[in-house]
Amino acid sequence: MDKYDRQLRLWDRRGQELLTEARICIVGQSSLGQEVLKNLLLPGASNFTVITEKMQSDQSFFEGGSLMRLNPRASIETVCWDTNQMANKHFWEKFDLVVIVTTYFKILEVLSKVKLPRSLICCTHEFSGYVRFISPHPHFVIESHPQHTTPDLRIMNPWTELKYYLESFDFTLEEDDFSDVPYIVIIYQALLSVKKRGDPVSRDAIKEEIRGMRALVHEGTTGANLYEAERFAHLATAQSEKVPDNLVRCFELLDQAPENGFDQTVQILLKSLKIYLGSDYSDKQLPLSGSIPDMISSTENYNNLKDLYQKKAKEDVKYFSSIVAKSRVHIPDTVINTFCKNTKNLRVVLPSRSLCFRPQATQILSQQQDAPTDLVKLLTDLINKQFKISDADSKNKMDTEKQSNSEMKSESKKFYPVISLIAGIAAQESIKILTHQFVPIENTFVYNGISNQSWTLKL
Amino acid sequence: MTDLSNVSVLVLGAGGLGCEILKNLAMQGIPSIHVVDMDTIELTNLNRQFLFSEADIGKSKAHVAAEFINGKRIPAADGTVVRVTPYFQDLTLFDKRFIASFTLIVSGLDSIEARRFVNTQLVQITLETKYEKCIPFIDGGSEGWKGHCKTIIPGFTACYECSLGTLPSKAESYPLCTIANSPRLPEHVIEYVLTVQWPREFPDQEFDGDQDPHLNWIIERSIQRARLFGIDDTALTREFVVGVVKNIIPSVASTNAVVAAQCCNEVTKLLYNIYDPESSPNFVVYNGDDGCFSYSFTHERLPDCLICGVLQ
Repeated sequence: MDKYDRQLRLWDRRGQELLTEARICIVGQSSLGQEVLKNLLLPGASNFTVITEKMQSDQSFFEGGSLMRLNPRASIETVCWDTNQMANKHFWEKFDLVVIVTTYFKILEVLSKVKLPRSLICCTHEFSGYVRFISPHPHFVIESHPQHTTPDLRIMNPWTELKYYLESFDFTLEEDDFSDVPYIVIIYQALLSVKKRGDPVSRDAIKEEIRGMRALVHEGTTGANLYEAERFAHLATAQSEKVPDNLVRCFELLDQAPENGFDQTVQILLKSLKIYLGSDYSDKQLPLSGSIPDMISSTENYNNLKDLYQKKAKEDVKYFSSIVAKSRVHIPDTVINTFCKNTKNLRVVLPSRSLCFRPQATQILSQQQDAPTDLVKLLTDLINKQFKISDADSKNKMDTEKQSNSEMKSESKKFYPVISLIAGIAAQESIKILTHQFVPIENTFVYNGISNQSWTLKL
Repeated sequence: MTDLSNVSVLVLGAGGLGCEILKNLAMQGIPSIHVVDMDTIELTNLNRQFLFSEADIGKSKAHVAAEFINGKRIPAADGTVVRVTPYFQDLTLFDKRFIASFTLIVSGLDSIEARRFVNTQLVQITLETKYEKCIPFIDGGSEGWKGHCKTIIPGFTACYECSLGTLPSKAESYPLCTIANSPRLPEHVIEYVLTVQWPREFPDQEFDGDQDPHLNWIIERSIQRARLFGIDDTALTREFVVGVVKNIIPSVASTNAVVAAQCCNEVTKLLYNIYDPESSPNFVVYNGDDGCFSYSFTHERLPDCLICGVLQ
């Protein structure tokens, strides 16, 4: 078994490869930074640059040696902050992700002016914390892995082969025991009957029709597939030609994607998908995913049905690939396949464009009617903690820390779990951003450790 | 300033959540930490259980975890050094008097029965001492990108038993007629080989998912059976079959960090009197796969709870 078995079940080898190869920079050497580093080394991220602020701060659980044993293949380069070198955008170009945990204003000031790759900035203050996703570009996700999906069965408008198959069953033969028929066939035939009678097609009408079919079932059979059909009757009225809202948003934002790497690929794929949807071939239907849910039926009937869906999905990929090929940029078949399987669930989020909060951010927030008052105060404190310390202040702060008695230190100990929590979320978002799997936070996540509440804000 | 010198915390489990809980409690300066775990370290633990390394495979999780933290000599909040005491054993063998010696208990277990055991003991302690002794029980759980944290004040707020209804139902089970006569999914095939073919072939030997020869037999027969029914056998990789027979739950370091931190933050609130059992929500759910979502609410006590209901 693989050391990474338990997480490969979430993001697969493709995700793992991206994580392993990613070049990650962590700005700041606080406990928060150490915890983020630990949470990224553990799942196998291997290329790190840690930028330190020159001054040693709080006590840490993870020192160099104990971190390296978490991932012996990793390389962690530690460098001191150097404004001359780091005010230059070329320094940052080599990173896939920058995680900023520093509270040194001089560093943040420089970072806010330079062009950074995709970044996360985070900070904690006593019982609260925040994580913010920063990028000038929208972030696209092909594999969003939704927990629950509605199967795309095309019952309302089956393609020719499927229609032929669905109509090949004859329910009027009374001697026939149809307990081996998958529910899609039952729903389709119920739909036909409703249409034939000229009744308006509705979920209830189809359910009623299926209930009527139950009377025909031989005694001794359970009719379990009929109950299943009734349960899924709503699939009959699914409008498969309606482009889902999440995909509409992807289309709207695709022009803002940068023209390199993953984003360029997504851009080409989305443009091709638009052409695909407008083509006669597609009849306004997205490429079929090819997967169908389990349905009570005989093995043979299920296999036949599955083959039909897979065959159609392959044809759709073939046609879609012919459109992609016109872009003259080579995109591997595996990527096109994954894209076609996931078109219904493509997602995009808009990160914050800037590192700093606009001066009026909390003011705007407080004017919103539903904004909880504690959230406004909490965010104000967090922003002040991260951004409002002048270098003179921080020197003083360091001196007091040096002289601080044990009471001061044990006071701050109690907030350690919140540091650990924000580091967990920062690492989780890093993984989602780097693998382009699962959906990252849209802009800013704020956590209140007293009430255990959280908010996601667009600031 | 709160005096923590007599505080002693028992941690249940030294796995994914347990390692995080132990590290946090140590950094919080809890002087006396006890940890119980009956498991030994495996390779697939190492993507998240950071107190262990490859050289520790086969050793007791509790012992290695304690040794790691003790070796760091972390200053405790009372001026001493954090001390972790390990127990390499089944926690349901602890007696009530031992359990009653702790200030509070934090659980990072995957076993529901073990949690029910501890919960029952704790409610009884509250009852028998006529509410004089009440040991808070904080329960964490994680699965993939999701997790929960429950704070139980035995005798006062909803106990673990009161919240059993919130647990997800057990792993998918398939009707025998499906797996025997009309298998459609690779899972159906594996289930049949495991529950029907294995006992028939080896009536005197229980299947053990940790033994390679056992697994190999299941994989081989599953592929044969899939072909027999015209089911795509390429899905039957070793990882997939193991996942089904051992009911493997995906697990990642970052989720454990978040959930364990929520549990330990409850410890801080309880120790520093920031927690008000009357108004504080006792239940937090966390989900990080689509954005980031944490929601807290109050789970009420069940008046007819078999464990804590009699207290009312």
